[in-house]
Amino acid sequence: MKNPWDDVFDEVPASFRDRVDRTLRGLEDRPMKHEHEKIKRTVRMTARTGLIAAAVAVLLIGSALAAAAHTGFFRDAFGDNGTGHEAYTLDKTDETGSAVSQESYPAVERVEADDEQAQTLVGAYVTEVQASVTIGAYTFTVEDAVMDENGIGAATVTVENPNGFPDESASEGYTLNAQTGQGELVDFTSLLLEDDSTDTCRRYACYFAPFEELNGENIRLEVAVVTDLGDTAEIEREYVTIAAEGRVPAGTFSDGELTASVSAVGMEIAWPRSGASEETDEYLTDEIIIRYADGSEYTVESDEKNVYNLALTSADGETHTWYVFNRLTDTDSITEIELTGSCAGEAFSYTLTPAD
Amino acid sequence: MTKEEFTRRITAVTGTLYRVSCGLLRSEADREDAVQETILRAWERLSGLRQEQYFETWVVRILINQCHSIQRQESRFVDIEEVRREQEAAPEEGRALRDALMSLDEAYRLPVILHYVEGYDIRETAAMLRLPEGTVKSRLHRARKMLRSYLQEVQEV
Repeated sequence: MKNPWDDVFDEVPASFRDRVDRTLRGLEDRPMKHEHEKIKRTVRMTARTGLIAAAVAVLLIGSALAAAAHTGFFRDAFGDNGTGHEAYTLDKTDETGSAVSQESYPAVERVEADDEQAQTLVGAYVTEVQASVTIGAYTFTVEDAVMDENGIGAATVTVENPNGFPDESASEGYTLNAQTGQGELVDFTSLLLEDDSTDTCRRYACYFAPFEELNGENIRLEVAVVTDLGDTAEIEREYVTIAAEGRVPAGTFSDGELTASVSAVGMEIAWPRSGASEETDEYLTDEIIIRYADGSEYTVESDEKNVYNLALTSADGETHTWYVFNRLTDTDSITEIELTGSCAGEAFSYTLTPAD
Repeated sequence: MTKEEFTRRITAVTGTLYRVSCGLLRSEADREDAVQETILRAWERLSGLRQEQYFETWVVRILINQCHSIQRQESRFVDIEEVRREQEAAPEEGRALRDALMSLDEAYRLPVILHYVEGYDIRETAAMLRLPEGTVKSRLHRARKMLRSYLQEVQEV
């Protein structure tokens, strides 16, 4: 079967191949560090009026927030520190300066954290991990964490360096990642809490979701300091186990064919099939809406409404998808979950109700 | 690694270097500059490559750094005529998918190029991008969704 990606790019231009060949021919016989002379690039003496500044698209999702300072794990992980912006669009222009498309960014709704409700929903399951590891001048501390029965969860992490943090383009940096206790992949993202951070201490709200059923395994946070980020890298890693002492319980919702396991922090969907399948047969949702007994509803995501109220989505590409909500959800009050989307070009629509 | 072996291996990945640079730089001149600097730096620092089996990953990583360096250093001015020539030369069959791919933000575009176009697996793609493997996987998942949405809109038009 022809790979559709084979025709996306042009053949390698002759000028590009020539530059490669010339550069290779000009190499010294032995590699040695020296100030090498650039082959002068061809200067394009086009008329000034012919030069157009290309549009610079700025990705704002997940970046700096103007949230008020707050304390407490609930506010940090599931409160109003969320990106909380309206949907917006940016004009993407081609090099002629004409707007050829609009790049849209979905709305992410901010929700005031209700401490009392948060305490009721997950208070008993928050683990004070308070574990630190040190790599060089960096100290990584996992503060608090919460995880549900399906391995979906959140944690707050601080990274300290008394020398400050290098610039993004510097040859040193650190990474935060997550994996199972057996070293298997776990999906992970982190949100810098700018208002709680200083020049020597950064604070993050982190979210994780598995790529396969965890079967009770713990999650461990991997922290690493990467030095010499140029052509080779030296990486030092340490691990902190997030052994959530109690897992947030999840309720089952179903329509007989599709099953969802929903907790206050996230949702696991088991799609109605088993066994391996083509990657192109992945279930992709267009809209997920949760409806409550009081008549209100929570739009988890909607392509039509351009909304994405999720901290993280992960999928194994075959049978399961995991969603980490951007707010705590009262599962006892859920009356209905509606999912629409498509799989292998065929639309689907499910309405799930409590299975108990 | 001898100079001859180095030359052979660089020549073998010329296509990959070109396509990855296409994902990051608009100008043909910038791409050529980036690959030249990549080759020179790789040759200079060859002794730092501890395991030759990772040569390709290592070179692509250098190229990505060089492309980002060019992006930072130069203002985004490009030659209109050069862009028009490129657009006319793009293969008709892949144009819709290429337009969809280029409409993605770089954070999503680059994993798609490395994984789907070049065929690197998740682990290799993550190493080249210096990202966690989980992040690569989730970006590919989201990119597939955005590509599908873009292509559906194109079909409707």
